[in-house]
Amino acid sequence: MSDLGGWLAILIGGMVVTIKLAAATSVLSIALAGLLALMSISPFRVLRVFAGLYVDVFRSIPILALAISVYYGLGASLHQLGITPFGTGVIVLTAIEGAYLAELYRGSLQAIRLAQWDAASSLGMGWASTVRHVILPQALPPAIPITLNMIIAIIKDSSLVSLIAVNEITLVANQLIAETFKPIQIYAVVALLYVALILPLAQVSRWIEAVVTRRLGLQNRPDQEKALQRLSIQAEARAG
Amino acid sequence: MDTIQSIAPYILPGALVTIEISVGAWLVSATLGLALALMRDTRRPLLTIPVSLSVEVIRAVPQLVVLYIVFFGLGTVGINLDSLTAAILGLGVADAVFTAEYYRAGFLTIPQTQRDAGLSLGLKPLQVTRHVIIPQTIPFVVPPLLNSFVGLMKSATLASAVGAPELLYGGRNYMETTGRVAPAAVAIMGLYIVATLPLTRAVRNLEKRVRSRTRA
Repeated sequence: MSDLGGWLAILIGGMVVTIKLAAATSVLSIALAGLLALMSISPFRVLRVFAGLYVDVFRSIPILALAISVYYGLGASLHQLGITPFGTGVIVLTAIEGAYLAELYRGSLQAIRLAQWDAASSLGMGWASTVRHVILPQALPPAIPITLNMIIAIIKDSSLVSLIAVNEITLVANQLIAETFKPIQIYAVVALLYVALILPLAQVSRWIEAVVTRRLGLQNRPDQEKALQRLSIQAEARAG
Repeated sequence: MDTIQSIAPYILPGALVTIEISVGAWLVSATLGLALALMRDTRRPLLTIPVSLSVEVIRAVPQLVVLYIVFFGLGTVGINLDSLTAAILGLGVADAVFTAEYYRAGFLTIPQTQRDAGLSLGLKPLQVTRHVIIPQTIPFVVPPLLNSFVGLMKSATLASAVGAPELLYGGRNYMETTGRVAPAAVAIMGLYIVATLPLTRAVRNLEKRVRSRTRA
């Protein structure tokens, strides 16, 4: 038990890398997803088709399959370009998580009724100003809890890049286990560290979701329909 | 043509193992998830508190870590599972904690009055659940359960991390033995796109139909 302090320091070091990895991936995924979602409601067919294809393809590819392919296939060239395993991890995770998030964002954009587009255009507003002044202000609040849930998924999925040599907590734990042969104890600490990071985020996300629902006056909908909607949003986010 | 012939022995057996893992893990997830949901919705704190706690905790742990705990962790306490069983169990358990929530959301779609009606007919609570609630919940939980199957097909790649010879494992072997990455990468990702995309679309349509039927 005396070496618990030593392990903990090493594992927390790994957790810091996990947090950095998830933070970088989250920021880039939000940007990519926002761009793809806007493309998917744009008036240009080419952009809509591209965004649709991107989302369909990258949602179908398992993260680990992409990670291993990129690592084995492009690892040397990425290394020459000065991209570290950490950078490769961020790129791979973003390419896929961005596609999932784009699909969820598209859902919140399309939840705004078409009549509002008509109303805006009858006022002489163009696409950009309709999006900016009519659509986004309504679509953003529900997108906040969706984004937080996605960040939680990103933190969890970031463990996969331990398999392409990113020294985040799961990899650090495996190295520690190779030295100490104490998998149960070490994985238990790892699991607890993930829980300590994720549970508060999940709580905040639930709370924001409740506030948004109340503010938007959605609480009048029957329980059944609310339950159904939760179910489909959760399931959609989980298809990955 | 030569490439296809040389890659097939690595990829095809792997694809079968992937199907085996995803079907197995899905069965674990669907049954364990239902059990967890039912236990969590009883009014017995001795049951609901530990169940809710473990569900919340496992939800926060990455699938890969759950898989490692099942494969490497259980091994040290004398439970030695082969990599395939460990993958089915680990991925299934990690998914069940989410499936449980689909069932619970599904239960919520049934108005409380139906439970009351069943009880007033003299049915026991479990009988009400079995004969009144669950049959009506099925249409609602089928789409998310199918989504979870699609998710598990992709998660099956994690099994390669404990040495189960699934699709990605086969592909990686090909990459390592031949030094050629692109054919295996294209084959794996292509197969995944072909397998999951139509399924995802079908589930979405099914979901729309379930929804429109309930509104009517």
